[in-house]
Amino acid sequence: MATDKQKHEGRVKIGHYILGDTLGVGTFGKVKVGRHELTKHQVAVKILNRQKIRSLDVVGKIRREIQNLKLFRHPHIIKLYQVISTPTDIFMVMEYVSGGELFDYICKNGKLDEKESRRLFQQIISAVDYCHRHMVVHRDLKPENVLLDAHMNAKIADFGLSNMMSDGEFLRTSCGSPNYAAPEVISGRLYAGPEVDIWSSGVILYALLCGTLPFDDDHVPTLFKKICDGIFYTPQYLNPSVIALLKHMLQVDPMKRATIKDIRDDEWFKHDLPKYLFPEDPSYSNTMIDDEALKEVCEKFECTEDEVLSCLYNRNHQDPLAVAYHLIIDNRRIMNEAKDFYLASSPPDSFLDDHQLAASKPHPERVPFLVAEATPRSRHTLDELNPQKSKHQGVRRAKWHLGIRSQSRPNDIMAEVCRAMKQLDYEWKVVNPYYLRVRRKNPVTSMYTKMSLQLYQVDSRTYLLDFRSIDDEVSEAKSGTATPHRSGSIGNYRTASKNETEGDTTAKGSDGSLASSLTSSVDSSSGDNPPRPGSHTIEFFEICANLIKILARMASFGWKRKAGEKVSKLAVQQFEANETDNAQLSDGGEVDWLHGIKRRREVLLEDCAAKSKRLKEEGAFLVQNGRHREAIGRFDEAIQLTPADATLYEMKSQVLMILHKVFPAVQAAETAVRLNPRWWEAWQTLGRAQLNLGEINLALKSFQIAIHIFPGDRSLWEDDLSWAQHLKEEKRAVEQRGSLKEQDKKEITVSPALIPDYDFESDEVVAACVAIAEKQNETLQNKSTAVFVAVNGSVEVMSNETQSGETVVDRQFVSARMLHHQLPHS
Amino acid sequence: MESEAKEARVYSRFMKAHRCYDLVPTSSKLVVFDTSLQVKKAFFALVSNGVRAAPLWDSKKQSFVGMLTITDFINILHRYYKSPLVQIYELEEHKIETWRELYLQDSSKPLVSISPNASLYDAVSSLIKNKIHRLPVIDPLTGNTLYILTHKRILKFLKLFISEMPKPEFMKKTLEELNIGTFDKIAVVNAKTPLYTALGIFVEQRVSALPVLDESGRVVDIYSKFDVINLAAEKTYNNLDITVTKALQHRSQYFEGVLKCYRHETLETIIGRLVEAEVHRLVVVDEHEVVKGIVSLSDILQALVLTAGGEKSD
Repeated sequence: MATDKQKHEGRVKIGHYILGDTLGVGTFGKVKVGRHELTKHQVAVKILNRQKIRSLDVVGKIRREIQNLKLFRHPHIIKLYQVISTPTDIFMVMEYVSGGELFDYICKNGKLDEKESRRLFQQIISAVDYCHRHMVVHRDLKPENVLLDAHMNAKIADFGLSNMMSDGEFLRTSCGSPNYAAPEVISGRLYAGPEVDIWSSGVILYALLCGTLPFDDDHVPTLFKKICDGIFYTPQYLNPSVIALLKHMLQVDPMKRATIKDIRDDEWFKHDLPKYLFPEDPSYSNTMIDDEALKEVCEKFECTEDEVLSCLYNRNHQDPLAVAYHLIIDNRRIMNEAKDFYLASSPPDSFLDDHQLAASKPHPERVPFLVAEATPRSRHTLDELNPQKSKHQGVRRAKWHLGIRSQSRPNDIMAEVCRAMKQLDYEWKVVNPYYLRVRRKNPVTSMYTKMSLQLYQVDSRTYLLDFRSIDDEVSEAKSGTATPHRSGSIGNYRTASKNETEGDTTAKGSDGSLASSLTSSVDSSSGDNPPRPGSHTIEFFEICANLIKILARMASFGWKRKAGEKVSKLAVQQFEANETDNAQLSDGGEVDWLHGIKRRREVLLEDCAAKSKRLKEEGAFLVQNGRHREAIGRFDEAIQLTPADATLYEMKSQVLMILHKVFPAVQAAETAVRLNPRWWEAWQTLGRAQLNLGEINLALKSFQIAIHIFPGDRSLWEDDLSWAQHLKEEKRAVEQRGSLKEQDKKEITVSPALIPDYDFESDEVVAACVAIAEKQNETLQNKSTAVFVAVNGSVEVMSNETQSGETVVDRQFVSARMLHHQLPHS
Repeated sequence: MESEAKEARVYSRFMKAHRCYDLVPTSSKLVVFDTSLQVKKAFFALVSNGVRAAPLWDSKKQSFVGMLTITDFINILHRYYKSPLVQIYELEEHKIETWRELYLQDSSKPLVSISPNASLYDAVSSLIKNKIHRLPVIDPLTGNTLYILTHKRILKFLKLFISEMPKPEFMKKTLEELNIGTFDKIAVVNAKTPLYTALGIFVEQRVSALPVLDESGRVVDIYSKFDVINLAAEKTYNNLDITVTKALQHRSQYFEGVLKCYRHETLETIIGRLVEAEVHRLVVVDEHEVVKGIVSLSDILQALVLTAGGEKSD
């Protein structure tokens, strides 16, 4: 944040606070009062001079402390609001209290009575305890650091020297004013931390009760001695129990010194101890005020955080702020538990997929699959009773679409739509040529139902007319919170509707105000709105359906046209004449829209099938002419239209084999087989593709399956199966030969002839060497011989010398069978 | 005394303080049938969409006129079934509106529905007074049906918050003490009862489930209205001569046993069991598993909400 110190008319400003008088002087700098220029809110601004800090080498520590201090929230610790950093100084903007220092107070008013002392002491100990719980030791507790607010409450300030306490870490720096410093501190010995604050608190308690310090002397060494002896004067008027406490706290030996726990257990301390100082509530000790809940309360009640916090700290449970706060927290907890409640649909829920089949027991209204499944599934739905679904596991359910497509030109489509709407007596507004807003007056209820039509382009040739419901004007105007664009949204305001419920509405009465204010039987003064007749959503469906039905009939006429051809006026007239005839024949006024949509879908599907067929034929033709890649393109297009047509994949597989795309060929063949497992030719193609891939065993299996399905085809036996078997034999032979050679090699290396018994230079040895050499040559020769199992089925043995660059796979293995079937070729 | 009575009515107050809107889930499925749809298709549609009931829309009247539930399926079957050899013509050919005409004759029963702004208390009253199990929630603003409310949903909602409310004395009392449930003339069937007879009992006695007993009167299974829709799913509705046991075979595989309870169990326990098991009723048995009565969600809600643990109010 760019909050720089500004000199403005002689005044110094920090953020929006104008600095004023000095409140006090601390170790590192002054504390000044600041006043917000707009709100007049007062703060205390402690100014730390960087140079001084640097000289004392505590910059890093201060920064750390500050981060944590900002998080502290305790009624008796001065709050740190903000820290502003400039190149020369650090400004700590803190809570301002008007009571001044406790020190000054005691000086002015003398000692406090026991009750008052105790009260302040309890507050101080509470604050010290809080700091200790958060691993911060003050180390410089003294009456000067205890401030008072307007109501004589203690507020501890000045964590200037306090340090983050690490477990076991002993703090070396000696600090604090000697009067309050514990013996171990002034001795320069290592100390842990908290005990030091206890000592200082003891000194403060003494000061409160007596008005003087327990250890005091003008001569500093004497002072030190007194401290280290730990002997102090206890006046008569002091309560013996408090003397005991003081003695416990001002123990020289830190191990023997009282702890916070000891103090809290002390009878004198416990007397009149306000609960809020040491709440058992774990959320308090974690400083975990739920900030979100806090914010919500403040928003809703338009109050400050402090107001809420003081209720909470004071355990003011009846206060509406505290109540609201706890309610919010409780509600959140319940809502987390109830998450499922609002996501679940009324049983049975049929859309859970298998991933969500957790270890939950079956809903009693769920029924198992009809198809005999050995193991019952853990979740069963009513819709699984549907035999359709049970047969086709994993098949995606038919989706319902609302809309129609056409391949006519957009202008023609819109013209047709308008013509249809004219017939239906709809009214419409043209927002742009492809977006219309339509309304229809309901003949029975006289209410208007509205929708919008938008034409979309789906692909290069297809357009989609989309229907969208428009909320009732009525509901939109009245309830400002209704979500637009969603029909049938639940209005957010309450109306008392007249004829909504049966049964008695005598809910008012003895049950108290809560009940009567919330039932529907409440005063109907909030607008006397009768419930809307009809149903917005259903009416929307009906107007869509009527329109679609008419368009479907008209469009079937459109399908007969070729794409792009303009409709002649005469043709239109003729069609319309036909239409009216038809209308008279059909039942008066009966809108059978379900069938309309179904027929429409059938028409669409039909077209896809026809198109797919055409593409298939084109593909076959292209293959015949050697235009293989183009053929694949056609097949792919056809697959887009009719993805379940196994023949397409089978043909594609054959062509891919021609193109030597072995892997894709196998994939396509596998798809064909998957789609139509009873089609033997697909298995045959698959086998051949697998052979190409070198998967002889798989190919054998495929051929065997094909034979199993259709044993009548001779070619399967004679060509494919026997061939595959032959190849298998070849492979085995090759392997055997290979292994034999391996054996030979082994023999060579372990040949008895090499056993060094012979005399090196004898004839036998020479002969043996020659023999070995010859054998080795043979091996070398064998290595360079390769056995090729070519695509064309021939087996060739080639040695290195005869190998040439030319491939053996020029010839086509498969003459596209399907292609032959289709074309007049032989 | 006064405070005790007040405490007893804590659930009534809870119900009055919440609206039907509070129970509607953020997302759910609703199926609506046009009355010109064929009944057979309608029942198949119930199955294939996984819903139990659907509001009916009359296009001529432009309004919702009723609900189609499994009860209708049962009534059609019972009324028109002749034999396994004869197709049930009315089921195959009738439209919903034709069926309703015949069934309702001249007794025009208007659709019982409720507004989302109405209290849960009103919803419970409506369900119980009209003796229905499905209550459509219709939004007065748009006229749309939002959701179909059931006893189960209401009790589940109550259960979510039940720990936040003080527990009235009567929750710790037993079924016997509170006299909740039906213990008189319980409609039952045995393993060999023909399905057609069972359907007849549904029609005449207007019960929603029939405990299936063995020779000694011990309850071995339960045939509920819900099980009837299975006939539509399996398309076996044309043979109602089969036994109840056979009709229940489709779920025998993992039937875990009839959900029961004892008279000496507390209301609290019973409610817990009902919500946990997600069933509409429990069969009350004695220590020999002989059926003694039935306690259903309707009984429970009536006791909790309307009569506040047995004190008779109206």
